Amino acid sequence: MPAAVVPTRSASAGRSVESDQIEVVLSHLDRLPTLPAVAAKLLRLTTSDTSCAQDVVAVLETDPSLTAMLLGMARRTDHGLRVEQLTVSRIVALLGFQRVRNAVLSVQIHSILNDSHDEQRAAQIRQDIWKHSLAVACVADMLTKHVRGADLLGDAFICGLLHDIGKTALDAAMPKSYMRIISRVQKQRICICDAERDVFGIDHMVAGKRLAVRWNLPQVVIECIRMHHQDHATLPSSLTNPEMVRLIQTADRIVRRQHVGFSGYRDTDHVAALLHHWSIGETVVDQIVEQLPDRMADYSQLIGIDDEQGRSLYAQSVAKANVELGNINAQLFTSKQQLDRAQACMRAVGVLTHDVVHDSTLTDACYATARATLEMHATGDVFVFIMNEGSCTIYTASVSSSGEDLAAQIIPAVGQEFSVLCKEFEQLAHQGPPVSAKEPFVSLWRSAGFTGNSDAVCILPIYDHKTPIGAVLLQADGDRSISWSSGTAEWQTLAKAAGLAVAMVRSRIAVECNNDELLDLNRRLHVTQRDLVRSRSIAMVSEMAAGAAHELNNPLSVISARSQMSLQQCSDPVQAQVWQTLIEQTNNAAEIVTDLMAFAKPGPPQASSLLLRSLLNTLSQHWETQLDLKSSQLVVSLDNPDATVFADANHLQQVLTALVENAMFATNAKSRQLKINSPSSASDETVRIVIEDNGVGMSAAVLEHAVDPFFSFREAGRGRGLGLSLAHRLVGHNGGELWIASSPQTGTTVTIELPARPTHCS
Amino acid sequence: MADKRMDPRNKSVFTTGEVAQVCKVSQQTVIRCFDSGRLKGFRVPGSRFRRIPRDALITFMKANEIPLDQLESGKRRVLVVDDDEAIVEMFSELLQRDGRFDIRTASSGYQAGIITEQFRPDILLLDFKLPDINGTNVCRTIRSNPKFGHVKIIIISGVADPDEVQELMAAGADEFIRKPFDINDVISRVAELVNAA
Repeated sequence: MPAAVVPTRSASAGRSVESDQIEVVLSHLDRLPTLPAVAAKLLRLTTSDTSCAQDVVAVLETDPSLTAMLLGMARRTDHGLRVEQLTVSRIVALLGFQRVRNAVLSVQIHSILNDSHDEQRAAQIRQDIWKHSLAVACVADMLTKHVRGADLLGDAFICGLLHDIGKTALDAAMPKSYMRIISRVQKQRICICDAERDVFGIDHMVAGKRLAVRWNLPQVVIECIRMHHQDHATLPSSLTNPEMVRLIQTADRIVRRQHVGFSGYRDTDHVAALLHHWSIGETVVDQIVEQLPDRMADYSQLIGIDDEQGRSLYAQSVAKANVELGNINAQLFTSKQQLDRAQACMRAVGVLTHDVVHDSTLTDACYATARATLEMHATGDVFVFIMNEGSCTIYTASVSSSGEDLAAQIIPAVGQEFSVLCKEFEQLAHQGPPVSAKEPFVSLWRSAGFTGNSDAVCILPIYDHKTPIGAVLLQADGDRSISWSSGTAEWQTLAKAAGLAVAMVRSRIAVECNNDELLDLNRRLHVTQRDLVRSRSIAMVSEMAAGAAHELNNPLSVISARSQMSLQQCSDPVQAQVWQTLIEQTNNAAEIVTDLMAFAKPGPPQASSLLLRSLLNTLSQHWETQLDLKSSQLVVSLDNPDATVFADANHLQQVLTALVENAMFATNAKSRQLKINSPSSASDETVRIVIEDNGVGMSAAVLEHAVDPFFSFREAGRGRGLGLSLAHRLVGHNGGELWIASSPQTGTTVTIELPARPTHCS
Repeated sequence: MADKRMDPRNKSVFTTGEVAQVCKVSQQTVIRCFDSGRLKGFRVPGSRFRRIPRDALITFMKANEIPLDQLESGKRRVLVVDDDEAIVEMFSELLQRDGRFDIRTASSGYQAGIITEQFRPDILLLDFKLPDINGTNVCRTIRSNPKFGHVKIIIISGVADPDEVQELMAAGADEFIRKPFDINDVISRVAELVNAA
């Protein structure tokens, strides 16, 4: 039947069920079956210790299935792989012998399940198809030496080898159907493409292209697969390398003319036109054809394709390969276990680095360590404790096996308990997987509220360098054959990471403490600085006041004396009054000067031990007569009736009088209530005298300047504003301190603290 | 002026004739006393002339109970020392008005020294703070010279510090008066110290 009569399905006629099936199967093919002889040879080579890469390459490059697979692998490995000059040896070099070997070990072979006639025939056909592909590859390779532009045709061998890969793909997808197609082609002498399309809906060119695209084979290979049956004169201009397609077409036709292998294609007409295209004569073709049998024979011999013992040899090779696979599998399992442990360890370290951050506390570090331990061993609850030597405390935290945070504690420990723990640690002297925990660690574990079999409690000490700083306590597996025995390195890593995390937290806390101390120092420095500025300015004012006071005295003396002289000579009473006023005002001015000088240079205190009770009694009488302070308006109470104060009596009298005077000015004469109290002091080195009034009080702004010289809260002319300032100065002079608490309308409380007895210095 | 210099009240060295006049005895008696050593004195270098210093004469007169009328004016001599002109003027006027005092003034410690030597004051009204030497040093210098053993010193100052006052008294001051002062108080204290009639 002529080929044209065979009904074909056009793409527009809809896809057949078979074509869909084929597409599905093709889309899942990740390798193609190869000939048993090729597979046997490869297995033999790859499992032998003496074989080298070159031997393997020589076999591989005869086989389209494996070459296509390796090429796909190479392309996936290196997307930038140049397609020019592509050879199997380069692919092997690129992939590495190990990967090639693994790929070869996974090789599939065509079914050889039985020795039926059909099977034998199918095997023969597959061998013929294989021969055809290899022959085309050889001829294409040889042709490149005779045509121009050979540099573009470096991978001609591979293109030739793979041009009919679609046939192998279809065979792999539907082996029985494909064999039927081959029979039909042979019997009816029709074109294989038509037969394929008739049955599958697609031909081997399309199937090959699908596979090549999916396996990401080079574009030039895809083009050769898809276009090797197209008319060479009408190739689409979009092809990347049409010359390669023409070369493969030429080789294909030459091989078909020589009837090497099976192509399923009967048309041999266009060789002359193609030869003309290449400008080569039949003589060249004759030379090539002459060399072809030798090359083919070399390959056949290499693989032993014609060897009758091929199958038994294959069976042996498979058995040997199986042993090898078993070994590899065992190694893989060990590696997997190691990797699992390493992964758990990495997760644990990850937890630590994630959970312990810049502001973490030691409790946080305990929790993080417990959670990290769970990543390694999640059988039971995990308890962690860290000893903080500085504060003699133990920080603990526990986490349940489900990862839930349980209680955390900070236990104060006395030094002895601490040293016991440290001593036990030294005896533990061990860095590795957890070991069975003893006292006092078990007690600590129980103190966190854990019950149950303490024999199953294991301990993993945490070290900072070589100093034990704490430990993880965890429960062993149910059967107590602890699964961690082989993970020494991982447990060590966890212990070290936890130690590092704790050390980090500790150093951060230390830095913070230093910071706080620095801040406090800074604050005190600031206060001292302020006081210094204040005392320096007072010193300057004092110096100035002393100078000014002296200078003022002379003119005042002159005014005063002259006025007195004039008064003596004056007979007019009005005039006399004027002189009298002048004299009085001069005396007032002189008093101010005296006060000023007293403030400026109070003179060193002549301190002595004074009985506070008698001092206050004397002063009360003095105030009653001098200041008109009624005894009903003043309450004096001493918590300790025998309290003494070590100070200059004269100074203290000035201080107390100034304060009482101030209090009297601040209070209304009718409601006036002053209290002088000496509360029992925290230290018997000092004594306090508290003067309290129920007067108008002071606002914060006034209070701030209360002790400044010449700052007076009273109405103008009623005071010189030196009383409180002088009192403050004199108390300071006597080694004491004075401070004021006041708020408007509630009154003022002035507290003086002075030495109760002579200090070592005095 | 010549009269004033001749006035025995102002002289510091006397001839035997002058001594005879002051003591209302004969010159021969004076010479005899001089030669016997009862009246201390010296001879002018290069001659035989006898000369009697004022303090030796006073000692001699007191020893022999001869009245000092001729030697003294009766008024007490007061030296006011202050660098403040207004103060000096005021004191001069005040004491002058009283009539019992003969007054000289000085404006520095150095000047006070010179005038004391010449004027032989009975009492010094001394400012504590002088431009060159302070009052304490003036006190000490005067006290260190036995010639001025009888000179009274009142310090007048604006100083309030009791320690400084203490120091002044220790240096030889007899009284301390604070500026400003009561004029009657000053007069009465001065008079009291020098027994002014």
